[in-house]
Amino acid sequence: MTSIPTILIIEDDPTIADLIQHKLERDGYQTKIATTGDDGLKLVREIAPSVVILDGMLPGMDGLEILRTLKSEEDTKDIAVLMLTARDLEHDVVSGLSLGADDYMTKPFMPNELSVRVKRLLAAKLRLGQN
Amino acid sequence: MAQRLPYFLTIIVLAVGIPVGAVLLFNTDDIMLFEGVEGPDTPTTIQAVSPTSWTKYGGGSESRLSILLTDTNSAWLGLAHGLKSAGIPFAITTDYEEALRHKVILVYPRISGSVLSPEALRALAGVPRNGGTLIGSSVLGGGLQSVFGFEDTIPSRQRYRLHIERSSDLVSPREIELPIGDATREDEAVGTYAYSSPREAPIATYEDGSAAIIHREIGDGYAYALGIDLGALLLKGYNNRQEGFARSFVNEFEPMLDVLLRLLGDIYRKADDRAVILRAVPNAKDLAVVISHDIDYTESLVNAVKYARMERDHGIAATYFIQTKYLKDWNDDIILDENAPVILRELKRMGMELASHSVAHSLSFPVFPIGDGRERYPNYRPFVKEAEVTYDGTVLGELRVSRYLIETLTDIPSVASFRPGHLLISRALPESLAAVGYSYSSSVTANTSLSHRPFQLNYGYDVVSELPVFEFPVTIEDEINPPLGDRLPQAINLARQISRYGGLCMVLIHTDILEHKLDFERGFIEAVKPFSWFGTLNDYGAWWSARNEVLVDAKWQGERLEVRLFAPKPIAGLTLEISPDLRFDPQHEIPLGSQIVEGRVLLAEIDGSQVINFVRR
Repeated sequence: MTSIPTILIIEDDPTIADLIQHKLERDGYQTKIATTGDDGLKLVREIAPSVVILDGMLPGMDGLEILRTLKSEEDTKDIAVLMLTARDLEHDVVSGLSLGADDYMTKPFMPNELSVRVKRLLAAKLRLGQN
Repeated sequence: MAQRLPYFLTIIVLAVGIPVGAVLLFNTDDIMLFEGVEGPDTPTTIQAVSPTSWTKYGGGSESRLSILLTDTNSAWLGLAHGLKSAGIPFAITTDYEEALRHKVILVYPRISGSVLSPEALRALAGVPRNGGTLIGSSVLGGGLQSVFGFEDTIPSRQRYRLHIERSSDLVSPREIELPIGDATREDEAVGTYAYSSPREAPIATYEDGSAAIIHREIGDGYAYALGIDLGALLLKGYNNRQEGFARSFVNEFEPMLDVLLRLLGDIYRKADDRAVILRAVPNAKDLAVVISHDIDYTESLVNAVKYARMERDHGIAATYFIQTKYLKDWNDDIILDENAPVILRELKRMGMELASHSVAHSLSFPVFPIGDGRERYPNYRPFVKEAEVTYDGTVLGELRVSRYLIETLTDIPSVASFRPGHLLISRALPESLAAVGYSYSSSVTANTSLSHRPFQLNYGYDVVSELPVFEFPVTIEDEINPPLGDRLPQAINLARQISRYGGLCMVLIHTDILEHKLDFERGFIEAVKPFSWFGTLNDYGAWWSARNEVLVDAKWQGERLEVRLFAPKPIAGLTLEISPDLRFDPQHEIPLGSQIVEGRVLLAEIDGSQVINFVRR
């Protein structure tokens, strides 16, 4: 039996976090929300999600710092990360991708597009696991 | 089963009534006949011109920009279409008392004692003092000079350039210097007015240094005087009657109308804290990109599949304008041959839009007669004899028969989009498109339209009657040197420039060859995808026409801004621009799937009425 993938949403804007959660749960995934970078990192280590949706601009530890940490640790380096960035911050996109983010989207975004991106990340992860 | 018949034999065959598709084999290939395919059956009738009434754009709440119309025979329709294109909510009225309910009033096309009563002039003079904003177009008299802050009005038809003096947002020379006429064609120039001795430094000047757009701050209010007729200039672009003052034909940045509309939008936003603007690009993206292909050469159809595969691999869909050429002529061999339906169906299967690119692709299309609306395949036989000589072509025949063939050969219920050969238009094209059933045209260039946004077409490219057809002008094409493959950096730069306005980048690539054109397209998609929405013309056209009907009104209810939207047609990904210091009111329901980021509100879907509540941060 295949287990239901868990998606961790690290996002401090409650409206956006709820929106993502609502969409992904309708798609049949389990979700968790963390509103700070520190909580997010703790949760990643606890639940080992299949995908992390990571806001680039978080209070305290920012998205790039979290990404760097995730990609440097053996237990978390293979977790797919989709970065959410403000549309004007092109350098964040470049930095995120160079640090190992698997995909990114600019805010605001269409929920359906997010859903497709998450599906693709999960499919890629599955393919990777089979190889 | 399809048959190719020599032209003269076909005439005989049809004349003696042998059914189409009878087993006849000939060596020559002058015409392609598809078995059982004859039509369209329903005749096309072009409706008589019916003037659009300004009252269509009346009503709405006081949060909209009010247009106080002082001459119903003016170019107000151009202004209305420009404001729609720019997403600025407005309401037209001829009643000054109705206009006074609004915070921002644009008096158009002129202010003078001959078009406004003394009471109206007095009341309008008080608008800025009472904290409102009064924008006067062509302030000729009426004693309002002191309100706007100038001494005299100086008319001229010999001013051809505007220089924007004050705007931090304009960075390109093409945004700062705007052409408004051609010095070699004085008779066709739009009349202008200059304002002498302006009290404050002008916002824009003419090339002779005189003031073209002036403003004045009065207490909490503002007064602006425009020396140009914005509606007339908009119609010059939208009706493709710019008479040579566009600075380029294609492939370049020509934001003349976009700059002026942005200026108006900025005035509105600055003056009214309820201002809500509808962005021109779906899904809160900065740029709408439509990749289109013209299939007007025998090899192009085969190559099209390779383009479509690349597009599908990049997750996008493109529009393929098909020349349904079933006759061999001076231009080329038959394009719509026995293999064509299979290829067309394959393109459709891959999610591509199939659109019409005429039958004959004739250089004479602009002088074709309109036709009788009964043109049918296979009897309709437009024959290109030489470059500028075509026999038996009609405008309606080109539109009817090409559409019918694509629909019939591919089982597409309705072909929505059209582009003429060589981007050459007939003056009867808009009403002909509407009569045949097309909704979207991509028939001219953005540079000659003086705008990088779509717009609504008028009957006869004229000034009185709008049609339910929208134009999506071509931004980048592939036939002008240098070769397309050498122009990628310029094209990306152009896309970025347009994205600052939230406009359309319509790319036209003939699929006659692969190599550098295919590489260009791949590179372009990859470069602009992060900030762009991609779709077919049919996708964007449906979105655009739904957006065109959206009504927006806003009202402060204490500390809460209540924004009411009405979308008669469902629309996904509509994006609003509001004051960046607003956020969703947590006390009220937030529409499902909506987000707000830096003043940009993305609405996942609206169908009918929707109320959204905001509060200040």
